[in-house]
Amino acid sequence: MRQETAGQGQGTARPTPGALLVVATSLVLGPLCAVGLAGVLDGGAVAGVPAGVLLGQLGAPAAFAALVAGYAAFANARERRGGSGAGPGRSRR
Amino acid sequence: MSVDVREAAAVVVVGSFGAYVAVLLWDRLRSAAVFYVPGRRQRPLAGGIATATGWISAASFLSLAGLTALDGRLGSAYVVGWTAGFVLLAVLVAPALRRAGRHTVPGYLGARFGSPAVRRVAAACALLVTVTYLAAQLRGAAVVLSRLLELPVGAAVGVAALLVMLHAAAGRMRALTAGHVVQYVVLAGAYLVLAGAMLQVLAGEVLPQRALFARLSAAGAALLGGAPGAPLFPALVDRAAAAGLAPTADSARGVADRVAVTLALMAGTVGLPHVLRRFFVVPRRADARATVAWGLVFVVVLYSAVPAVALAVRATLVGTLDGAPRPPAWVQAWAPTGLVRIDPGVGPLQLAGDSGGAGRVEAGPARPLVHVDPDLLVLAAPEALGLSPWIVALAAAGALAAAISSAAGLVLAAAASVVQDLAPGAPAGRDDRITRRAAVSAGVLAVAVAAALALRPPGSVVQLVALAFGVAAAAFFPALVAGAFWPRVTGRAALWGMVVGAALTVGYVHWFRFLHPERDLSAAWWFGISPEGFGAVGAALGAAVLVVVSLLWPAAARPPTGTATEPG
Repeated sequence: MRQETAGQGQGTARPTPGALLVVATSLVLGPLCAVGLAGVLDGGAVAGVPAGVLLGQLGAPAAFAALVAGYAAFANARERRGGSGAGPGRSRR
Repeated sequence: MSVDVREAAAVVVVGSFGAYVAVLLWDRLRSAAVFYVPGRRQRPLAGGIATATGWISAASFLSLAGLTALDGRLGSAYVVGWTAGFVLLAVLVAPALRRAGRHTVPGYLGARFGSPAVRRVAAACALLVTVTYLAAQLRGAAVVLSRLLELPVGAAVGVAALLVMLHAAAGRMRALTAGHVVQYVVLAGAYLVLAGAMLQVLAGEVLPQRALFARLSAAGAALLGGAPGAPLFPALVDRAAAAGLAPTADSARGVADRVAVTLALMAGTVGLPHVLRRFFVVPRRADARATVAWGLVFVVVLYSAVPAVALAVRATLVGTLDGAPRPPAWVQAWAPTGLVRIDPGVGPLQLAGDSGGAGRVEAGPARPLVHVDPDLLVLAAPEALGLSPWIVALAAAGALAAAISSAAGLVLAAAASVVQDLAPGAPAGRDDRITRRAAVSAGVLAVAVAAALALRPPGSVVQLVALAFGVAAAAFFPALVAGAFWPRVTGRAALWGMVVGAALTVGYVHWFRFLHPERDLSAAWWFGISPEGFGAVGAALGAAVLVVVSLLWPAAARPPTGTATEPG
């Protein structure tokens, strides 16, 4: 089979541990919120309040918004400080 | 002077559309941007509002609360999947798209892998996603228009298609950014006012986010049969159980399906062509992240009211329909649309299974069964609760804003895919007469195909949107993420990953939703995963193919392209 050239167009980036942590958190939290927290309601309302619905449908979106805002603020601040440059061990060539 | 719903809606809808058109025309005079290319002066806050407006479609405004009212667990999967997807978008994809020098996802992928074949296959997938998503918006707009114009919903689809084409033609992408700000104010304001007004009737509470803590008002107690001052939610659970509806958090679907739906919606968020287009023109990675963050904030403002609307819708459904001696006025008002149907029977009304009822078996002659399309519930509930016609009209205007704004962005994305990616020869950014005519023709064709699908949709609006997310997840998620972070991925691998992921997902959906709808039951689904959730499986298999092909047939050489490090 004919070989081809990879990496055409533009280069790739290397995800930092912080970015990977954010992604992993969302991948775990997402299904957990959708399945686990909403399921709390199976046991009925807690003191008249449906805790599962409350956490799954109100808490989870707010948590993800905070996660994105926090990540954006952190990454942008780091970039402003020059920490995002192609430093040793970070760039690919 | 008293007005009815249709008169009030005429004033509010025409007024809001007049405002959009005024903004579009004003902005158009100041710009010479190309029809299908976004402008380049977008700030993160404005971009976030525009992203949220393009994101909040008829599915979020009209259908999500109805779905949550009938199946609380599945509703949670949608809310969580759609918000968690923004995390992946902010971290994995949006920053990588900036300065790509392209205007479409297929164009970006084609350039990234140096492969015209990748570009064409991606363009075909993007068209499929866009048209499916567009069909959902047309259906949503048609639900609103069918009530306001007292038309059968099929005819209303035609009116909606015409409105979408006019709206897309009135503004270019940059102008749409300005129009989106106005539309966001209308749709989010309408949703919050609607939620607060309904909650005020049921519980004397106006803050939607406090709905789950609210206590019954006198009117709420009369509707649900509890005592004034008692907690609203348990009273609703009891009343709904008496009406034969399953508990709010109960779902006929298994855990595997809800996990799959959540993951498919998350990955699909990363692959939506009309959302990603905005990030090709932001000048810096920081702007891309900030735009996503602002976008999610504005989305969450509306989503935080979804449980309140769902609660009010469910209370209205059981309180006004179940056991009623005759159809209430709101059912009669919606009857001409064909979205409400009553089977003949004797005695008081009973909710049918497709409206959430559990299909109780009772002795004696059958009771008249009421079938209610879930997509009309959000609009019908305020009428049923006797709210002011102006609030109902505001809700209709908000729903139309949600549907039309998303649809206009989708038409532009479809036009761009055809003109720039499927018919190469028109360089990106070119704005001659031929290119413009081709873009308009492609947009019209996309709307026509979507309208045909919207006439007989394979599910509710939110389910139709979920199918589009599934295809986007399967086709684009592996290639976009690998293209951004894995230098060993090849064009051949990206191509086969897209083909395998998209083909499996489309085939699965086609099998259950079009060829064999009678088998579209959880017992028949593979591993218990519904067509809405199968995009997660398609994305996983597509990613596996991408990795295997990349490793088995590695690239000959890697050019010395500079790289960036993703901070965080």
